[in-house]
Amino acid sequence: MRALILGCVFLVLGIQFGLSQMIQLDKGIRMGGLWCFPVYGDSLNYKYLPSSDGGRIVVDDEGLPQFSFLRYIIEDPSQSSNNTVSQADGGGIVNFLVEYSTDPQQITAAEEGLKEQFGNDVQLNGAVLITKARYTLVSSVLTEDGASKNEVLATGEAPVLENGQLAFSFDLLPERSKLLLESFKMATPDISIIFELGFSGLSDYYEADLHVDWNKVNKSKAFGAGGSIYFIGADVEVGFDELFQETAITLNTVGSNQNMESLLNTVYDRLLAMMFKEVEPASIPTNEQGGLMDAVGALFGSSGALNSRNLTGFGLNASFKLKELKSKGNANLKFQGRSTLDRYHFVSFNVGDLYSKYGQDKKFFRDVPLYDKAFQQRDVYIGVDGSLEKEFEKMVNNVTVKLKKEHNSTETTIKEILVNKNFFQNSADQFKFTYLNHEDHDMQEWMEYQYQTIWQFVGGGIFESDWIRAKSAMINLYTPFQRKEIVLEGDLEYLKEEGYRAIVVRIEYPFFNETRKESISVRPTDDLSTKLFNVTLPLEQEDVHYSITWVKKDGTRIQEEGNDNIGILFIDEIPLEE
Amino acid sequence: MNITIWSYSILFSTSFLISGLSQEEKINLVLSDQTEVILCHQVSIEESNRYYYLPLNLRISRSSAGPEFSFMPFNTIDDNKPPSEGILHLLLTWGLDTDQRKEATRLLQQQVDTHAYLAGSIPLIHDEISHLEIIGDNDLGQAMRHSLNSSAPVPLTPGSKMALSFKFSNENFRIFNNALENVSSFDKIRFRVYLKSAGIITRACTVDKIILEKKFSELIEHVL
Repeated sequence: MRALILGCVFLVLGIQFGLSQMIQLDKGIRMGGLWCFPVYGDSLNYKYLPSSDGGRIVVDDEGLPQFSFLRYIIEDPSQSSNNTVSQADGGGIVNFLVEYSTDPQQITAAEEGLKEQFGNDVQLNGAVLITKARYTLVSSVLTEDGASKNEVLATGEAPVLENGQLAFSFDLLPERSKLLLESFKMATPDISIIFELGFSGLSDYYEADLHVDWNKVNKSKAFGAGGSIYFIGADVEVGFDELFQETAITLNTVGSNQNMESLLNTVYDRLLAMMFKEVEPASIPTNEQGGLMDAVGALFGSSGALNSRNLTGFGLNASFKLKELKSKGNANLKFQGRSTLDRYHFVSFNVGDLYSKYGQDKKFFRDVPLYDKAFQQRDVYIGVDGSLEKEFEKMVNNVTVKLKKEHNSTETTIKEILVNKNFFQNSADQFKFTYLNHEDHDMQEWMEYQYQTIWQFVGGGIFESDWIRAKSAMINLYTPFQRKEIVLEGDLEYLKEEGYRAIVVRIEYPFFNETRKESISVRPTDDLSTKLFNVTLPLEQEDVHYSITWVKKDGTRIQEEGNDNIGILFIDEIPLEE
Repeated sequence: MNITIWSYSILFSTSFLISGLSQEEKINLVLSDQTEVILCHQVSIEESNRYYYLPLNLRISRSSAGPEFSFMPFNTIDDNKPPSEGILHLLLTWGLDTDQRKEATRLLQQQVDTHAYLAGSIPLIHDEISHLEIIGDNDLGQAMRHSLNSSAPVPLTPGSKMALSFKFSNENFRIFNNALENVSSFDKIRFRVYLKSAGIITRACTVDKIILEKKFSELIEHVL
């Protein structure tokens, strides 16, 4: 048997200068709560990973958090005007800065621990170089559909240096805004941030011999069962495992060193180079592809995570062609050295109990009605009582309603609306005043206005009210007069016996800008129940002036005058003659 | 009770090929609080007194304000009606605390020699194996799985935290909320964290995948 001895030394290290800054991953030690690693080539020089507890909301020089949660409320013009209580529009904006850092006291404690363990010459000189960093946001309130924009990212790039600040800003819909506020009231609100920090280091030194028994390899079914010579990376890895199981390939490490990830990566890479050639799937003849394309597809399918796995240095979804193995005998390969490995470190934290400390401080938590007064307008509607409608058929021609608003800017808004019998056929929106905000900063005062009504009656009478101050959104129109019945009472038999021939009753009363006069004559033989006055008085007018004249059969007269406000005039109470 | 499962050679391990291992590669310790700790001796070409412990003690993390756990029921339709939704936010961690680590170091030195030291937990790497699984073959388990809204990667070092945010709605909320009234309802729900070893430990401790598992009822027993 011809023995083929191959001797290879694979030095996977770079130049010495570059390595001098690398940490030794396999020499990590946790001291004072920090992971510390010696620098390659300088076992007295350690670097630390940022503290796992070092994530936090950034604080300013006064120790106050760089955080704010503003809830804003704006009026929603789309709401129906018929609702007196309706849903305003608005939302919330939460801003905060986060960082990760390591407490100097923790660094000191870690260094003291290192000195105690490895001697006083050991120093902890700064943080491990972070090569890449990402953040992940864990929150149901902020990352679900509660954010009003799709720009909310649950993950993204983060600073690679300690104390580098990362800003978050979220625009929330009203419901989420309320939820977040309630969540902030809890000790563990629904916002946690995770920094994912990537760093590199050197593996431990390894020495290993790889022995390949080509006779066993050639006899193995590891790569021959399917009849194809094309494989994807995942199948190659499985095949190598099988060859190890069959002891067709054996790996012997020197000393007690063993299955370091870096060593295995290197071994697999070398085996791959010996036995396979990478090919482009498209270049493989269709009749020779076998199930390879399906296998590649499967890796991208539901188990898609597989395609990112790269345990052995070659992609699991890459395609390879098995070389024609003509080797016989044994092959021995020697591996020694170190490899550069990528690692991750996580710094996670919850934003914590901000509300109990700062919930009452407007610098951090604030609710504001957010609207520009310059864009505000006030609507004042005219309401008409149903009884007035009837008066338009009888006494009222029309009513002019005037509104006057004296603004803070010294400008005055004056508007008027004419109400007549057609009023009830039109929509209510036509009978509203609208005035704007002209530097009316005091909202209570802005609500105040004055109005005046001018009534024109059938027959030419006019009533002009004073200017009335009001605040309400409705000016109610009601008839400015009252109807009143004045009846005549008395014993007509008595008057007849006393020789009275007739009684004349006259009344006189003001009706806005005119004086109305009416009279009734009564004879002793009349039916008194039909003798009455129907008068229309201004609302504030109660008294009616009257005069009663008694006429005797001989022509003599007795007269009495007075004011009545009860609606009854007694015609049998004859004053004594002087 | 903590359950830690060491899954041997799930992917690829050359442990069966290796020879020349020391006899004190794995040490089992029992701390005064009955915590069982398994230490692995790092043996390499260079002599080492270095020991690492296998991950253990999955638990809800604590801050100065207490356990990092919150559950907020709410009703977005009407405040006066019973809650119909809820948000659960919690942070998980694992590992020995400071006192446990000191005790483990002391016991290690008693058992080996005074030069032996506990360097920390075994190095772990972040890959697709590392993840959290919520185990529970009932409606409650289903409700929790379906309601897990966002989560972070599993912690790779002791003391690091994994944040989870659940959004429970409607029927899932009802199931979870009812279960809260009787914590033992969570006995059948287990949180299982899969961790991937960096693989630098010795044969006796050769592990590829480490599983930390705990009943949810035990996780929250000191919270509710």
